[in-house]
Amino acid sequence: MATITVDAQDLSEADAFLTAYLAEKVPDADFSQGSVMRDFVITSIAYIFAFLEKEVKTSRSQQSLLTLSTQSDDQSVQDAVNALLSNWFLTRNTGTRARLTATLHFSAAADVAITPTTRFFRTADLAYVPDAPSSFVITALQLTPTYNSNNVVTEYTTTINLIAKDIGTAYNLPAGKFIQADQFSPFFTYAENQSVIGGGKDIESTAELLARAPTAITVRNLVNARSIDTVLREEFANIARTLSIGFGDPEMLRDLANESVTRLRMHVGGFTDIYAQLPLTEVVETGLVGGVFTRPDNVIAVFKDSAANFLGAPAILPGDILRVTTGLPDAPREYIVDTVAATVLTVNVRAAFSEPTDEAGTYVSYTIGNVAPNYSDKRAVTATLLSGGQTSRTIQTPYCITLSGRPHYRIRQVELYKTTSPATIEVLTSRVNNVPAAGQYRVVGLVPANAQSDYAVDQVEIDATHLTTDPWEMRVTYDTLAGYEDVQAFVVDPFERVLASNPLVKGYTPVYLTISVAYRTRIGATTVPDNDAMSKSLATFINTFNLTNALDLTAIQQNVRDTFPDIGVIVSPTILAYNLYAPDGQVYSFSTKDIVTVYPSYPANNAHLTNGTAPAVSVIRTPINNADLDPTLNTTSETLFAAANVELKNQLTSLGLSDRTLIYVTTADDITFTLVS
Amino acid sequence: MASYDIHFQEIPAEQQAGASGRVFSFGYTSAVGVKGPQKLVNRWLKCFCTLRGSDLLDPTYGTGFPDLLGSNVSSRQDFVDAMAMFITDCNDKISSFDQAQFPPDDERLDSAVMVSVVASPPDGFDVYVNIKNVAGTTLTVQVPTGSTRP
Repeated sequence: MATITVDAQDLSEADAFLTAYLAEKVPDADFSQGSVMRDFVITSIAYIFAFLEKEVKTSRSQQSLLTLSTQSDDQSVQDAVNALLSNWFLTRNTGTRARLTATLHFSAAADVAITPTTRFFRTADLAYVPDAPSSFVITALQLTPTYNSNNVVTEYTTTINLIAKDIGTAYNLPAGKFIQADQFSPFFTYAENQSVIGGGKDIESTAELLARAPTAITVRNLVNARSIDTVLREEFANIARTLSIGFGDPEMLRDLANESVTRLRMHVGGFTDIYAQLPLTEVVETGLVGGVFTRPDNVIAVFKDSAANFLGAPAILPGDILRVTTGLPDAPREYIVDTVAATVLTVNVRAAFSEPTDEAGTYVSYTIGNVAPNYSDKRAVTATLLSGGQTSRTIQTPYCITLSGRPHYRIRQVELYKTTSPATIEVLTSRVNNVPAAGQYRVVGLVPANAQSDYAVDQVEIDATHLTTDPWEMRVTYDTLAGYEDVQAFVVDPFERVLASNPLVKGYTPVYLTISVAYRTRIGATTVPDNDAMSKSLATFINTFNLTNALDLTAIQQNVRDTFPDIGVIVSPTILAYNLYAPDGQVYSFSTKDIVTVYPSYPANNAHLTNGTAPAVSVIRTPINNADLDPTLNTTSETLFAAANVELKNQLTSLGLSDRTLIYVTTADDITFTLVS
Repeated sequence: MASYDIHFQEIPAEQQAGASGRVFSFGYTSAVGVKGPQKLVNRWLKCFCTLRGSDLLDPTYGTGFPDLLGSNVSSRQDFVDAMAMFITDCNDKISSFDQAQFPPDDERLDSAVMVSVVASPPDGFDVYVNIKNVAGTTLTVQVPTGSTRP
């Protein structure tokens, strides 16, 4: 309810209006100042008239979003905007709670039970609780020991995801130590967050709500970009933006019918990729290296027969036909072989098996060949109760673990330990694109079209010295999107989903920036800028940068200067490097002297790929000669550079990437400021 | 062109107690238009009997006279001095209106002068003021000081 305030100006206007009006209606009456008529007829009701007039004006002004957008965001304006937009069933977002990954420190290794109500206080007022629906236990084996220089364990640590008790940006805090926590373990010593706490949002302001409103007048189904944006951002306050990719869009890969045998390659439609920008959070996954994992996309594409040797003569080849004759509901039916290993085949995922018989413990009879109609010229196996072929939705790859189906942003840490001696941990620090050597790991995205989604089939692979016969556990810490599962569950909900579509929520493909800035203070500066504060400030600037504009080095340097005026000279060169974590798991590393882009184009920009050439063995992508990639090198001609970058662009396009499906992110830890004298 | 104002008149002192303490009345079953000297008297009397600061639109309108009603003034001279000051204030205000609106001569104030102050037992005064317009007409007005309130 608006508060109506009548001031002298309102009274004066009411008096003038009534005087003019009555003087016109009753020309014989004296309404001059000081007259009895004026005082008894006009002045006596002027205040009431002014009040009603003001209320009419206020009500009228609150019937227009255009007018409301120019008014101060007080309660009455908020109420009016809420009321107007509720006509389109649009409501104000209620804000989001900040999330973080906290490291808990313990003095001894013991099982720890944590309830969702356990509070961790960063300040006296700001509390965080475990981001978990129910109580959970961290076993002693999951605690990581910390050793001192004498090889003595000094403490144990683990990480858990926390969420703010309440909504609001006040909970977005820099890295630091928690001051207190509710009692949950006698061995707990303290908690800390080593990266910035983010994702907390206040209740949506009127300006933000009005900015979102234009897309609200639309159908409320998930049928087009406008409606998807409206519905999802209405349902999930933590979504900052969305991008919908559908039939005919160059980034759409999932609807590609790509038959290796017939060479058929066409978009068949029916798929919707919904990119959603969500806050980052850190998760930890542990798996047995070389173990059996369920495919996150639930595709039953594996055919295995432990008694078979598919590589033996006559060898089974991709393109051969696997014919299941009994054991499946739709048998007999043929499948096209995609890949071949000794005892395992995979078939084309677009025409995969209908049931995983390994889960029921049954076997199928099958033939393999390439001569119709029986396709039995290479293999013919009749199933028994204990032998034959089995279909499976599992995946098992030597030296690999398969991550859970969710967006996989930057991997922060990969640790290895033997199941028999979990206290001895080997940390892999180097992510590579080719076959990993000792101390290295690589990520392989088996289904790039499903990358950064619920169906992502991403594996983390280590070097072959870690024999799978001597079981190793791999613990992977990586960034993912907070609240992603809820959004995906919403779009595939039987009630919400579009019946003729296969929707999939994806995270934008991440490009992580690393910046190194050397600077001098200005002459006369009385204080030295705080390097940590500058890193945090610049990280915020980049993470919230409006990506409809090109992010470039000049804008970054200008932001630093504007925010920290005591900076005098930024010493060249400022190093701006960035890694694109591609859907196939490959890392494309770039460096730039101006615009941040993954599409170098000299002389339009001075960005260039820095890791084009990979070793000749087992690379996933086509190597691009490094010498052709930097236009500033004397060895490079513009023609070679252009050709190399066409190849680069083709590679990225074939992975479903474009400028609009990327997101540039960084953290304060990735930004270094150095004061030089 | 002269225009009509609405007429009001003083309620006789002996009837004021039965009129809920009201001092003025329209006095008729329907409104009466008035112009000329009586209109001037009405304007003057209304300003004189309006407490200064009580008009939302013009806080300078009125005088301090209403505050005098029912107050304890022990000295007759003090009362006369106060009345003279209030009459001057009222004259100034009415004159300022006249200069701005320039009404006809018979409605324009020339002067208003206190002509007599008569004690009215047990504790009141009857005050008479001569109000003269520019046309030269003078009307004597008894200021409604009212009787002792119960």
